[in-house]
Amino acid sequence: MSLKDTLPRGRLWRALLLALLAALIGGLFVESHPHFGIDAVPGFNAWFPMLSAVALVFLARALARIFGPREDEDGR
Amino acid sequence: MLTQHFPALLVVVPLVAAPIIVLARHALASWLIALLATAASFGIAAVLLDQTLADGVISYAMGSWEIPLGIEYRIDAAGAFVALIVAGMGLIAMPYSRVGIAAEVRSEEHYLYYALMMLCLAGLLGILVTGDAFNLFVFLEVSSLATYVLIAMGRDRRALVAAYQYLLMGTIGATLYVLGVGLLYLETGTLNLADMAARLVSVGDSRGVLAALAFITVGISLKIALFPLHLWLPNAYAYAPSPVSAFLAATATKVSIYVLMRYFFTIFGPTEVFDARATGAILLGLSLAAMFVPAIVAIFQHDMKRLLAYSSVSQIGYITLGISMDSVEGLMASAMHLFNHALTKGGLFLVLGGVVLRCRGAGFDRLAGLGHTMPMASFAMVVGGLSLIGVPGSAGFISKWYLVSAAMHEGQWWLVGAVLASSLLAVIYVWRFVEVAYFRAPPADHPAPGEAPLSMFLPALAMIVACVYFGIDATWSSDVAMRVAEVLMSSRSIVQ
Amino acid sequence: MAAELLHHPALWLILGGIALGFLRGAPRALLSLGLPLFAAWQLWGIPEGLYGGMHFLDYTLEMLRVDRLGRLFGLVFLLALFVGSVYALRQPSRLEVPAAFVYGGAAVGAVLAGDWITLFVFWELMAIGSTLVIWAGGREAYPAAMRYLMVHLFGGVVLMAGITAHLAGGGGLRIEALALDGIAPWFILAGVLINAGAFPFWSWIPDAYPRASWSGMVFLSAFTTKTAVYVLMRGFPGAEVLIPIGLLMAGYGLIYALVENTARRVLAYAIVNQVGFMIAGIGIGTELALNGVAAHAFAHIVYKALLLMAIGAVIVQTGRRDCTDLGGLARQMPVTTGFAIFGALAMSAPLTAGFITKSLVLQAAADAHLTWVWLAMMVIAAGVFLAAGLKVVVFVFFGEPRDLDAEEAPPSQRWGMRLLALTSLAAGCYPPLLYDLLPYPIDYQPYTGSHVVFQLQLLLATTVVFFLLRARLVAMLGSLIDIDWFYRSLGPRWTKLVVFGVSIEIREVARLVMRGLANLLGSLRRHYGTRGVLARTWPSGSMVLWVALLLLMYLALFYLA
Repeated sequence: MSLKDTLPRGRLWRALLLALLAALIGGLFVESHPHFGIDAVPGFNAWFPMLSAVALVFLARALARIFGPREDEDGR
Repeated sequence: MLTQHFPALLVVVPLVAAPIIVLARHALASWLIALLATAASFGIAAVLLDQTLADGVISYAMGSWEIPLGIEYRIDAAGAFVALIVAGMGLIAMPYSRVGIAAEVRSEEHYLYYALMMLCLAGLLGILVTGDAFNLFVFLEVSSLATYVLIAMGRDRRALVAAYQYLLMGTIGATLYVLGVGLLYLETGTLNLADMAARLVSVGDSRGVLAALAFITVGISLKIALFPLHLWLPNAYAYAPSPVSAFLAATATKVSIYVLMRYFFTIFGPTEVFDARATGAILLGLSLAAMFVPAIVAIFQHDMKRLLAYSSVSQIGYITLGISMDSVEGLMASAMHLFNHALTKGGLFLVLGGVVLRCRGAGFDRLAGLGHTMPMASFAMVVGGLSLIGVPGSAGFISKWYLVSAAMHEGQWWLVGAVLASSLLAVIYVWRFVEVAYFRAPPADHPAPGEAPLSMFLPALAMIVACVYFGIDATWSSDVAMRVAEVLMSSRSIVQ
Repeated sequence: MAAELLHHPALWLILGGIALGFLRGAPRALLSLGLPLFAAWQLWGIPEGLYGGMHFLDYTLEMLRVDRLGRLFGLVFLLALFVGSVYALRQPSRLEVPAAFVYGGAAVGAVLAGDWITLFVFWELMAIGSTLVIWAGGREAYPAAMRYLMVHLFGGVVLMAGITAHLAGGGGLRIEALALDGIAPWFILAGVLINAGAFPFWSWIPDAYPRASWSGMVFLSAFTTKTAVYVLMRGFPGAEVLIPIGLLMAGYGLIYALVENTARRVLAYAIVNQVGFMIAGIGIGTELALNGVAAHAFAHIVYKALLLMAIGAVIVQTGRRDCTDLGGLARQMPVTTGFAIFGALAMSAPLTAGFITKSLVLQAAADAHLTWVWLAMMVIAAGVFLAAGLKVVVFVFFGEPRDLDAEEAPPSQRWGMRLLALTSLAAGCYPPLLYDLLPYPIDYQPYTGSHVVFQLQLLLATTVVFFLLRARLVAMLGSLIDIDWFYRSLGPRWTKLVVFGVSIEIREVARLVMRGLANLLGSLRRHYGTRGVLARTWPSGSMVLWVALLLLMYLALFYLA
């Protein structure tokens, strides 16, 4: 699979980043109801999912290094 | 009034039908006579069950001789219940036999087949109705002798060997039984069962009584085919003509189980001997072995008739397990399974009979692809198989339910586990049939058979439908089974 | 027997399903579309209450219980069945749709069952129906269907044992919340969890479901696990043990969805993930949480079916199933691509059903001050969007075109997807449509400024991470063994355990164990097989020997005792 083509190029990619930025700025103005303290940190709903997604991918990759790859290919 | 002679007529009707058939010598006429006699017996059994449920014990003095000097016929709800099963199975087997034996018994022997069926029926019913220990032996022999010949009628030459082995084992069993009865007679001076029970209480812990208990238990266990005394059964069922397999599977072992219940709970039950010895524990051990070992053997069979036969030995284990619990609940579960297993296994053998007729054999190589060539029959087999496993909605489930409840009632949790584990084995052996019938191509020389003739398929279907019916509405069967258990336990509970 | 039973939707569905087996062409199409609608109309018309009256054993069964929760699940199942039938109109198999009706009918019967025994009967019927649906997937599906059936029969036995013990212990026949004391409720819980796909019985979902036909998995994804969720809601609301069980499932589903290559297996793992999310919600057990779980069951059925339909359409067109074999289909199948994108968004984007349901459960965790649970659920929400949404859509429909010979999905398939998308949109845009059906009164406003903005932050941030890390995601596709693999082909792979500090000896041990097993099997066959000692047709002499032995045993025990 060619990776180039899975990356939204140019304008689309910039639009994505801009939208995220807009959501982050918007988050500063809405009234929030933090429950735990940590969710009161600005942009929590952006950086926490981001970090956890990165962590998940690396965890999955580590597990795949240890246990993979499956050899019995009736597995599909 | 005629009704007051019903206990005697129950036996006399088929007993008299037998010589008439021999005199008639005509296949169709003998079939008609046999059918009528069986129907009459069934009607009488139904009336008797009705009466005993209402009034309790019916006692009938044979030839008006005074009891206990003369022979007493004595029937209560328990006996009448089993009698109804036996006569009912006979009534199903008769219309089936007309075509069912055509391929398996030489036509000049057909009238003999019917005569022997009548004798067998008379013997089995006699065992249930008699109140005399020695008379019971006589009926046991009448039915057994008829059975030996019926098995030997099978086309397969191995039927002869099977019949011979059964004869050998059956005779040993009967001999042990008679020895036991002789010992009891020495101790009590009576052959009347009720009288004997009453006198045994005062005899106490004597060696003679102990030996009698051991001899009778082993003798009857042989006739029950209780593991490990089952070795005669698979061959006998496998090589006998199909209607005979079905009739025997549903009745012969069940009647013997009734006899065991009688002796355990009514005769020996009130004595201290029975409680002091490990009778229940031994039976429990044998029952558990029976639930597992023959079931595993069944899994490895390559012939459907033998598979069902081993499954029978395994299912007998459930019935004796209920007996070994020595409680009303356990006995009720036994009575339920006696009835439900008679329905299931009788139905399965009947369906298989039709299949054997078409496929010319019950080996798995012959049955391959049955789901396509005989869809109705293989579906009926699967339904019956589900009842063997004890899937809810089938009769087998009801009996296992009561068995499991009885075990819980006793606080025997591990028995619950054992019953469930053994059911899993049943799943496997039933699955073997499903695999053969639905996932294999029919053999190359398969003559594209089509379904069994209606006269065979309808009776078989009736049994399978009954399996489902009594799995959904078990009100009648469980009520009667409860009464049976109470009746059997009544004399035992006096001491408890 | 109550007359209402004649209106029982399950009755009509199962009978109709059997009838479908004998029909073809237009009559089959009409019946398969009409039946779910008819059943829904019947269900809607039955007033709330308990109906039954059939006697079984010593019990009077209450075979039909209509209340808010049961009706909601019943209607959702009927919706799934209807939309699935639309989608499967061109399914050539004569077995699959009839089996799906029996399966779906049994599921409806299970969620409308008032007592444990009725529930169990429908439970087993579901197992049979769903096995047939998988079976209809063709030759390759056969072994998986058998493994699937074995797991479910085992689960059924465990459930049966639990129910029997429960009733024998004097427990009530009606399905009500059980306290986890004594052995019976634990057995029931275990039996239900096996059907939900909890550890260690979770791999049957990715093992069996993706082997069904292109339409089969749409049906499969809806019923079995959600029925288990329903029973857990009835029987064990607020059982704290469910929180770790559910989170474990969710984590497992997530990791495997990330590394899996076969598109529908990714979605199967996502089912485990989302069911885990729901089970954790049941463990929280507040009214808000239970409302959220019921609502999310609905939303999940809708968006998962939508994604499965899109992938199913791809399978029909290309015959390929793996992400690495697909790509660039957006040009050939624009409509399907659009629905797939919507399906991914419907997991949690505002204006879709997922948004108004997932937030209920998260809010419940927050209200209960379960910090860690809440954080874990946030991770799940982000992760599943990445793994099952973005990954499947981007890898299958975008990227380098592969010169695949594909056309747009036919109208029947497009209609199936369209109906689901509309359903999700309707519920998402007008929440009372769904909220009014929930079991408990609800006072929750999903569309506040902070809810919407924070959710957009989460989705956008996850998307950015996905595109940044996509190279690593591609590199690890299809490279992780699953737990079922351990019981399917144990043996040489034991050496892999080396990384856990266990030395190479393991291989020798495994070999010894295997040899021992082989020997055991051999001796089983020796003793029990047709020529085995215990099955041989014995010479009469040894039969008599047994008699003598048994007699001696009796006498010895009698005299010595």
